[in-house]
Parts: sequence; structure tokens; C-alpha cells
Amino acid sequence: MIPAEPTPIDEANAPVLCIEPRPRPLPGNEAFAEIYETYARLMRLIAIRDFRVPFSDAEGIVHDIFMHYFSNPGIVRGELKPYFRGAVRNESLEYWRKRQREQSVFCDVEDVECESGGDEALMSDTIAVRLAVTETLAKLRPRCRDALRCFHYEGKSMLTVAEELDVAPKYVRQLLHHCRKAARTIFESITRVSS
Amino acid sequence: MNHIDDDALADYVLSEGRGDRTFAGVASHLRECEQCQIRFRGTVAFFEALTTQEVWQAADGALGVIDEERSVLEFAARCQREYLDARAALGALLDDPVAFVRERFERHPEYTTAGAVRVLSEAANAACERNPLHARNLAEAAVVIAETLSTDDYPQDMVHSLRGLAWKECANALRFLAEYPAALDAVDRAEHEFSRHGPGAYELGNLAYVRASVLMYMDRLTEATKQAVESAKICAAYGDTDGWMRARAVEAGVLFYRREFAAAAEAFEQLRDYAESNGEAIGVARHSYHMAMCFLELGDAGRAAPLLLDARRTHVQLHVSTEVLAADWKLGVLCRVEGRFEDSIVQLRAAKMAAENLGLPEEAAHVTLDLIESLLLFDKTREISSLCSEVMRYFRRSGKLRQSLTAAAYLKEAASRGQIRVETVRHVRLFVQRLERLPDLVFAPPHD
Repeated sequence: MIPAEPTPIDEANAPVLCIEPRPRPLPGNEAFAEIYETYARLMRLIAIRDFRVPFSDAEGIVHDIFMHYFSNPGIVRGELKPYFRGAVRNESLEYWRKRQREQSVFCDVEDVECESGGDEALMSDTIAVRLAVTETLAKLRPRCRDALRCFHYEGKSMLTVAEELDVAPKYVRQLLHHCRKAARTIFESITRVSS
Repeated sequence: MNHIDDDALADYVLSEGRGDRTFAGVASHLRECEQCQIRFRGTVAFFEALTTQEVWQAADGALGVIDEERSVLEFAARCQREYLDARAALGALLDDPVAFVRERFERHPEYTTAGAVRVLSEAANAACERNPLHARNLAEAAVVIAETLSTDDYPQDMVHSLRGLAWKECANALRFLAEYPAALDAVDRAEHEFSRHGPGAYELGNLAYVRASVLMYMDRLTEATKQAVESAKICAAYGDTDGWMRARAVEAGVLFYRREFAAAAEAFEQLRDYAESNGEAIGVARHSYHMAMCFLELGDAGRAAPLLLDARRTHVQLHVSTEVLAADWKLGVLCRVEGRFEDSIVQLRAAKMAAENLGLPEEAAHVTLDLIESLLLFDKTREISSLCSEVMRYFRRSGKLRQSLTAAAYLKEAASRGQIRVETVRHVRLFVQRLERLPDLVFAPPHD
């Protein structure tokens, strides 16, 4: 096995410092946080996978549905999961209706469920991973996010990353290592919950 | 077996096949270990996702996930706080119709909150069956408050939703007060507020149900069915089984009013099965009774009998005396359908007495009409004239519309002239039944 790198002394090193603090629910409102936590990912996934809503807009749809639900939770009869599924479906259809692209872009939920072949399953997995990574990045400290973006997305060399982040080139390797580690920790916690 | 640690796995993935010698151990382990293969694939997917534009764009959104969640939870907490405050402030008045009207607290600015609209709407919904007039007052107060909510204080969507909710409860109360045109107007107002979420919004399913019920009572049966189907469709899309079943109950009711008894019996059977699966004894009994009524209309006493007896047994156990009376009445009808006129007369006499004892003049009138029919079929006409007088008396006592009295008077007149026939009684009974849904109907004697 390859030993882990020695821990550099820097604020970005401790995984706990690489993570944005989670919002803490007010006392007595833990139930809301639990509802959000339980259904938000599923809702994003449905919007993106079944209705082809772009990643960047799916969050807005989920947000609107929760705002609507929390404004009067008593109105929902029965279980929440099918309610939220129905709400995502409706809001996604509205999303496309407003863009007048409804017919050509999405498949119906029922159709998708009927034809859940290998490709569909693969696509579903890919979307789920990307959603989880999006959430992971949103929870990372900006410094870590910037480092990962420069290196992994923009494909910059360690030297360039060091210049952009104004740190020593030697340190970038350690920074990236620990940011990746922090990101994977978050990512695993997210995927563990949703599986 | 020692598994590959996370860092090594990440380094191996990032090496992209370079450094074969460094990672030789990792590669060979992966060939043998399924668990690490799964982790390897997960790590590959993770790093692949980091190279995609959509992931970074979404993460960089104006409101990140953390901010989104925080704002949603803060909003939820505020809504809940307002709701609880309103409940504490209004609670004592909600069950006191007189004090509620006197207080007029929709005029107090401190109650102009979303929480107050929710509390009043909930209370109106709960009071509909028990006290529809109070329900209307509650709902109207909710409407007044909802209309004054400002989009400076609440999200626009929430303001419209609460206005829709208040109007919906208004419609519901008006439905129970049999003020059908006003109920339809209120439904339209609610629909206007809810329509922002498109034709498939959850609330529109509830609204379609209210509209379907009102249209059914107005004898606009085709429109009622259309609305019930729409309601069932929306409820199904949200997994709202109760809502779906309520919509189906309207469909079944419409089929019954259309005299499509076979189809109605099927629909009621489905509802009964659902009630049974939920362990709702009273629901099972109610729908068994409805099915039995359909079979009686179809002349199928064999299928009606066990259903009626089941319904009766449950209602006896639960001490629902009005429903026991209804079952006894229909058991009298069942005897007649079977040709056992003498038994029918005995059974219907007992039901008539029970209705009187329970202080239910309208039911007593209907039972008496059936008793008259059985007596006619048994050719015992001596007491029919006096029974017709009793029908009139019952209708008068129950405060029925003038047209009911006209129909009963016509029956009495026919009896005194010795011209009363089974068809005459059926004509009058059908007219009185329809009059409940169509209060503007005018009685006309049957064609010979």
C-alpha cells in the first residue's frame, strides 16, 4: 500500500476546515431539516434525469417546491415521497412549458420507468454522481474549491495553480491532496446517505 | 485481505496509467478484489465529474446548495412560528361560532399573517360537516386576511397559494351549505390563484374534487365526471390515494345518479376494497350499503342481501343508529324485490317507527313511500290514504321544499280517488330525490 502523504501545516489541511459548516436547524425545526435532507437529492435527480432539466436550474426547482411545501405542510395528505415526486414532475413540466420545449426535450416519468435499460441505468448513475459532486463542491471551503477547479477542470499545471492561489509551488501538491481527501469524505457521506 | 486505501486509489486513478511500476500492487489487487473494484469505479466517476462544466456551473450558482438549504429552512421555521402563534391567538375562538363572528379579528392588523390564514382555513375545513355556516365564516375571514397579505412580507407564490387555499375552503363550506353557484364562483377564484403552478398542481386536484361534488349536486353530471376524473388523475400523480379515492367516490355517485347501477356498483366495490385494505370498518360498511343499493335497483336481491347485512352488523357494533335504520329500510325493500311483500311490509313498518323515534322525518317520509309501494303490490290499499297524509306531515316537519309537499299532496289525492299505482309512488319518490339536487324543479304528475 502507498502511505498517505505527511500532513502539511496549513489551514486547508484539516479536512474539517475544508468543509463549509452546515446550516443548523433552529430548535424544534429539526423535522424540516430532516425532510429537506431526505428528499432534496432525489428531487434533483428526478428533475435532471427524467425531465432533462439542466443541472444549474434543477436546484431552483427543488428550492421552489420546498418553499411551497413549507409554506403550508398540512395540505399534503399521505406520504411525502410520492408528493415530492409529483411536485418535481409538475414543476419540471412547467419549466419546459415556459420555455416551450416541452414536447421535444423530456421523456415522461412513466416512459422512463418503463424503459429503464442498461443505458438509462448508466446515465442515472452518472447524473447521481455529478449531483453528489456538485453538492460536495458547494460544501468545500472556497480555497479548496478554487484549487480543485484550477487543476481538475481548467487543467492548469501545479505551477500555474500556485501562482493563481498565491502559494508556494511545493505546497500546491499537498493542498490538492488534502482538498481531494476532504471532497471525497463529503462525497462519500452524501452517497452513503442517498443509497 | 488488505484493501487499497483511499489515497492510493485516488493517486492510481489520477495517474491515468502512468507510473506502472509504482502502482503495480494496486493494479494486481484490483484484478482480484471486487470490493476495491467498486471503490475504484466510484473514484473514477468522482474525478470525471470534477472535469465537467455542468458540475462547476451548478456549484457556482448564485445560491449554492448550502445557501439554498439554509434559506429554505429559515423560511420553514418562520412559517411554522407564525402558524403556532396564530393557533395560540385564535384557538379559543375557532370552536365558538358566536364569539368568532363578534370578534371580527380579520380586521385586526396583528392577525394579518400567513399563519392566521392557514389556521382559519384548517378550522373551516374541519367545521364543514359539523357546522357549515361557521365554516363559511372562518373561510371568509381567511379570504379577507389572505387578500391583504403583501408580497413585501411573503414570497409571491406563497401569497397566491394562501389566497387559493382560503377560497377553496370558502367553496367547500358553500358546498355544504348547498349554495352551489356561489361555491363554483369560489372554486374559480381559488383556481385562478393556484394556476401559477400549471395544470398539474397538487392543489388543483383538490379543487377539481370540490368542483366535481358541487356539479354532481347541481345535476351537471357530465361535467362532474370530467372534474372527478381530472381530480383522480392529479391525485394519482402525487401518490395521494385518499384524494384519488374521494374523486372515485364522486364518479361512483354520478354513475348512481345516472342510473348506471352496474358501473356504480363496480366503482363502489373498488372503494370498499380500499377501505378494507385500510382497516376502515365504517368505510367498508358505507360502501357495502351503496353497492347493495345498486344491486337492489338492478333487481339482484341475492347480491344485495349479504352486503346489507354486513353493513347493518358493522353499524350496530359501532352504534351508528341512523345507518342501522338505513340498512333496515333497504332490507324491507330487499324483501319486496324478492317478492316477499308481507315481510317487506313488516320490515318497513319497523323502519318507519325507528325513523320517528330517532326524530328523522325525512327518512320516515321515504320509508313510508316504500311501505306504500309494498302495500300496493300486496294489494292492501286500505291504509294508503292515511300513509300519504303522513308523508306530507313528515315532509312538512323536515322543512322540505314546497315542491315536496306538492308531490306528496298529489299522491294523497290519487290515493283518495283510488287511482294510486306503484308507478305513481315511484314517480313521486324519484321527484323528491331529484329535488334534493335540483331545488328549482317543479312537480308534474306522471304521464299515463
